[in-house]
Amino acid sequence: MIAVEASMLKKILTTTILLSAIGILIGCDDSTTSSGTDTSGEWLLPQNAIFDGGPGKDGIPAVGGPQFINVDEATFLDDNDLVVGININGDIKAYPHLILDWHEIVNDNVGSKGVSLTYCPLTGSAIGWGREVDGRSTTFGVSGLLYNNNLMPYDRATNSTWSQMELKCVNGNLIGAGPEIVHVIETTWGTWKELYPNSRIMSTNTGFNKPYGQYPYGDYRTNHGRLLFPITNDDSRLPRKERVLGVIVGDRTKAYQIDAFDDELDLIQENLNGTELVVVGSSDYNFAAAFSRELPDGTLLDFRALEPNDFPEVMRSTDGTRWDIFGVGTQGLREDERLAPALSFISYWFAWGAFYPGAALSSL
Amino acid sequence: MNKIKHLTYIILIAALPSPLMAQACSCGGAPLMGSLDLPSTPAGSWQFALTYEFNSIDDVYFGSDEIDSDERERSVHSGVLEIGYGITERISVSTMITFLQQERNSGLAGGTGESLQTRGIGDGIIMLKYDLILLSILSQTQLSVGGGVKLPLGQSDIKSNGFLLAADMQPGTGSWDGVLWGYAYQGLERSSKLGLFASTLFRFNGSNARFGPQNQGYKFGNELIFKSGANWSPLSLMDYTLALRYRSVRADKFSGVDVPNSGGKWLDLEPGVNFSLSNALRLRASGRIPVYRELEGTQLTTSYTLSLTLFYSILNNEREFEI
Repeated sequence: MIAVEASMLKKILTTTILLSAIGILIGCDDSTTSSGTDTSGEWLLPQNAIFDGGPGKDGIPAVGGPQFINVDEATFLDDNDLVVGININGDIKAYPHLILDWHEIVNDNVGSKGVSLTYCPLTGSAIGWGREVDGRSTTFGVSGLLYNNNLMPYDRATNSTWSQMELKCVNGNLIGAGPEIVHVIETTWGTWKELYPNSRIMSTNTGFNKPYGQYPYGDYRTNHGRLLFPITNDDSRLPRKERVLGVIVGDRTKAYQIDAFDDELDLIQENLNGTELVVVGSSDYNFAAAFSRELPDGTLLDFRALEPNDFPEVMRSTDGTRWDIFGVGTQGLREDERLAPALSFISYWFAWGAFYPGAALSSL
Repeated sequence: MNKIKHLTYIILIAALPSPLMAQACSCGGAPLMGSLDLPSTPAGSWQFALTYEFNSIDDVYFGSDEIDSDERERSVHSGVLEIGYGITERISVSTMITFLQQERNSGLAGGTGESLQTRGIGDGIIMLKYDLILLSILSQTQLSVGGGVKLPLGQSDIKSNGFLLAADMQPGTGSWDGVLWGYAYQGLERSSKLGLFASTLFRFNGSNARFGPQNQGYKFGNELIFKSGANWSPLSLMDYTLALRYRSVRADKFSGVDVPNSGGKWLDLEPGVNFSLSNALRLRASGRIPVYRELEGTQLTTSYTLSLTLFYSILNNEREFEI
C-alpha cells in the first residue's frame, strides 16, 4: 500500500475548486444588454436625470380601444375621484384617474380625432395629445423612463421618446417635435356629473385585470415628503403635492393653486407675457381652466364668473355670451364659437417647479 | 470517534436550510440573506458551499391579492460561493461572494417592449460565528450565533443606454449593512435520522448614493428571516429536508421617506433533497414555493426558485487515506 498525504491532495482539490469558482465569478464582468429599444443618439434632456422606473418599456400597459358607459352606470366611482374630460365636436368623454393610475396612457378616438390621453400618477399631470405624428396616425406607449418623476411616452410609429411635461420629443427621429395639445379638463366625478350628465365614462373593462380603485402608490398623493426619484429643481414655495394649473405663454409660466380659488366659481383676468388670459376655477368643485381673452378677430372679451347651478356654463362675457368649461360659447352672440385654450395643464407643484423653474405664482 | 464526529457533521450539513436567495426585487439584486447556510465550522476545518439558483419572479401582488400581470417577467440567475473556516473549537468565520445575472422582459401584453439583462459580481458577507452549544453525538444539539458585515462589492449604479437602472436590476445594493445570525439544531434520534433545525437572520442596512452625492441616498429596508424545519435521513446516501421560511422586509427609503411598493412579508415552503457523493462531498437540490405573501402596494414577487448546492468539507483530523 502506498500511503499518501491526504491533506496534500485535499488542499490541491480545494484550491482548484476555489480558484475556479472565484475565476468564474470575477471573470463575469458587470454588463448590460438590451434589445427592443434604441435610445441612442441625441437627447434634449440630461441623461443623468432620466431614470429607469422599473417596469420596463410597456411594462405599464397603455390601453387601446377603451370602452365607455353612461354616467349612471359608473357605480365604481366616488364623487371625490378625479376624472379627466375631453370635448371634441360635442363628443364628451371622461377618463377616471383610478383607471389611468394603472395604465398612464389611453389611445382613443374622440369626435373622430385620434387622441392619446397621457397621465402620470407621480406628477399628477394629465395632458391630451393628438395621435398624428410625422404625418401618420399612431399610438403612444409607456417607455418606462422617467424625467423629474414624469412619464416619458414613446410613439409606436418611430419609436421616439417624448417627455410629457416638457411637451416635446426628446430623442429619436422626431426629436424636437411638439405634440398637438388636446385641451382637457380635470375635476372630480361629482363635479363632472353636474357638468355633463349625458357624457360617456371610460369603463373598467379594459382587457386587463387590475385592481382599479386601489391606488398603487400608498400615500404618495398627500405625502409631501415622498418622491420616488430625484428632481432637477426643488421649489419649496408650495407643498410638493399641491395641485396647480400651470399656464405656459412663450418662455413665461405661471401656476395657479386649485385650492386658492373661491369655493364657488372664481376667475381672474391678467396678462401673461403679452397674452390676455382669463383663468376660471373653483376650490370646492376642484377644477381650473385658462383661456385667451382675445378672439381671432382681435376682440378682447371681458368675463364674469357664473354660479355653479349654471353648469356646464362657468362664465359670461360682457357681450352676453355664456361660455362652458371647455371655452365653448353656449348662448348669446358668440354661440358655438370657441375660446382658444391657453397652453396649460394641472400637475403637482413639485413637478411644475422642476420642469419650469422660476415660474410665477398666482396670488389668488 | 473522528468518524462519528464526521458523520454527525455531515448529517448537520444535510439538515441545513437550503441556500435560497432573498428575492431580487426587495434587495436590489443582492440575494445573500437566504444563503448563509454553513453552520459554524470545526476548528481547523474548511467548508465550501457553491450554489446556483434560478429565481422566477413573475407574480404580481397588491397586498395579499394576486393581480393580473402578463406585461412583464423577471428572472435571476445567481451563483454563490460560501467558505467557512474554524478558528477555534467554538469560533469560526464565514465569507460569501455572489454573482448575479438578472433579466427583465416587458411589453409582453402588447407594444414594442424590451428585453434587458444585467450581470455582475454581487455583494459579499463576512461573518464570525460562535457555538454556544457544541454539537456532539450524545446531545445532538447545536446552538450558534454570529454577526458580520455585508460588503457592497456589487455595483449599484449600472446604466443602460445612459439611464440608471432600477434598484432591482442592480447586482449590488451599494450599502454597508450589519448582519446578525442564529442557528439551532436538535437531533431527535440517536442515529440522527431525524432532526429539527431553526435559523434566524437579521440585516440592518445602510444607505447608498446611487442617485449621486447631491441626494440623501437610497436605503433598502431592514430584513428579518426566520426558518424552521426538519431533516430526515432514511438512507445513508440520501436525506430530505422540509422547512418553512418567514421573511419580513421594511419599506425602502429614499431621502428618508418610505418608497411606495417596497417591503412586505412572505411565507414560503422549502423542500430539499441531499445526496452524499462522498464523505466530504454532498449535493443538495432544493426549491422555494410561496405559501403566503402580504406586500406593501403593488410588487413583482417570486413565483418559485430552484437551486443546486455542492457542499465540500475538509476536516482537520483526517490526514491519510490508503490507495
